[in-house]
Amino acid sequence: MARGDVAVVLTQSLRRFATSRPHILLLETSGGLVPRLEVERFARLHAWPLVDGPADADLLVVAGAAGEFDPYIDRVWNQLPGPRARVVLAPDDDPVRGLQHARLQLERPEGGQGERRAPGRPAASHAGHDMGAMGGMEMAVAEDPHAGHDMGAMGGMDMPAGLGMADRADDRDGLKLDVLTVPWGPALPWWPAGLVVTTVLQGDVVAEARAERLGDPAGQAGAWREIGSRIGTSRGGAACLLDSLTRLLALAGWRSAHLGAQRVRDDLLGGSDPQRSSQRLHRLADRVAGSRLLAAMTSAIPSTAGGDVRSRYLAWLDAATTAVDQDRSPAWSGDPAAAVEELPGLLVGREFASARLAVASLDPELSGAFTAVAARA
Amino acid sequence: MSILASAALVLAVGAGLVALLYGASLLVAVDRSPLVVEPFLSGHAPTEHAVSRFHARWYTVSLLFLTFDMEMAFMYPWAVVVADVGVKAIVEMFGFLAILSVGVLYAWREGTLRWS
Repeated sequence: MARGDVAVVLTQSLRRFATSRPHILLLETSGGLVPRLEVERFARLHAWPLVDGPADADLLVVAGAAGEFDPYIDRVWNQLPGPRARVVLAPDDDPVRGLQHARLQLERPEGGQGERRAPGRPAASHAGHDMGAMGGMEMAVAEDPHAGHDMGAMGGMDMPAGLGMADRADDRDGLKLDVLTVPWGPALPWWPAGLVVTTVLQGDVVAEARAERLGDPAGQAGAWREIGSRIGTSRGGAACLLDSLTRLLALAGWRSAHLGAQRVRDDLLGGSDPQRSSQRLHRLADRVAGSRLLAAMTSAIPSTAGGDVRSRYLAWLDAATTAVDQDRSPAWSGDPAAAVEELPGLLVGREFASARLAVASLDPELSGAFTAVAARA
Repeated sequence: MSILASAALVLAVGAGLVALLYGASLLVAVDRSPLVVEPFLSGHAPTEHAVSRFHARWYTVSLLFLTFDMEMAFMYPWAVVVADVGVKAIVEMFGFLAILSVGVLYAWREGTLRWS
């Protein structure tokens, strides 16, 4: 049929154009440090964007073993719109080949849609999967906002997707706001591997927080130490600090400095000329330290050891430049368990974006790359 | 061309463009109906509905509304005569707006526009 052929030709050429640079949702799990670094480098060199959430993503790339992260990854996979493809990169897989293969999967007409689980709890199954969303919208429009407290008493009505409305409670200003449980991690991009922070949000503000670790916390520390033994502890340590900096800059939204920091980190990891790496690092440090906008954003957010996020990233840059210039391991130490302990205290009362920056500022401690033992070694 | 004919032409062109876009989307869409998914909670299932009700500060919002409403009431006749009266009218209206903006600045500093 002629019309069908036109549709197919249009669709195929559009599809080839659209999947030439697929958007990557990069999730790190235990043992995923090296694959993640490789994927970030590949994405930077080929200009494949790394996105913040499943709605914008074409490829779901899991760096590291799936293991106990499987249910979380499956749920995120379910939320990716088609066409989509999924790659799990174990530490000894070839990331470049995995990514190219996934991109070819995207190009095919069947486009890797795969099975989708219907949203909503199994308990509300008789409502059907499209009733879930429709019912939710109708409820929101029809109900009187002040009847929120009475929702539970209306026993006959079926809750959309089996979920109740959010309850209200006093917040820090004495207003009555909705209480929302929002878990952060483990399947979150730009997030430390295996960390799960369950926060209770009221409005924009974190009212409570609880932090725990999934997977193998010692694994990432081991991976950094292995990198350090391969390329030298000075460059390895500096690369670790720069890795934390790239994450912070990505969250802060300063894309060009984020790419610059990635470039210097990949330089150090790839073993390029030490003189040039040192020059580039100094230029990056001047640029980031001199930014008044970043300073204004981060100087009011408290971070570990009584400092704030600004003092943290300045300390990272300082330690990294000293390490590369003097060719010795960075003078840094920290305990991952203690960092996870103090995390809730740092988050309560912070606004959402500030809280995420605060978590990002705890980074080298959270990964355990510079435990007291390693720093002395 | 008469006004009616040109209006009809603009309408036809607009309708044609919209129809073209819809047709193109029907041809190349991945799926007819949009995807229905749960909200992105880093792989966790949601525990409550996130229809978050914001606390609108009604008293202060009404004051802000009245401010701009009264300003509008003065600006409508002013807009009609400003071209004839000239610079004097412009200066007077901007003085009026400056006084109003002091009030808006005060409301802003007092947290009227905050919604959490």
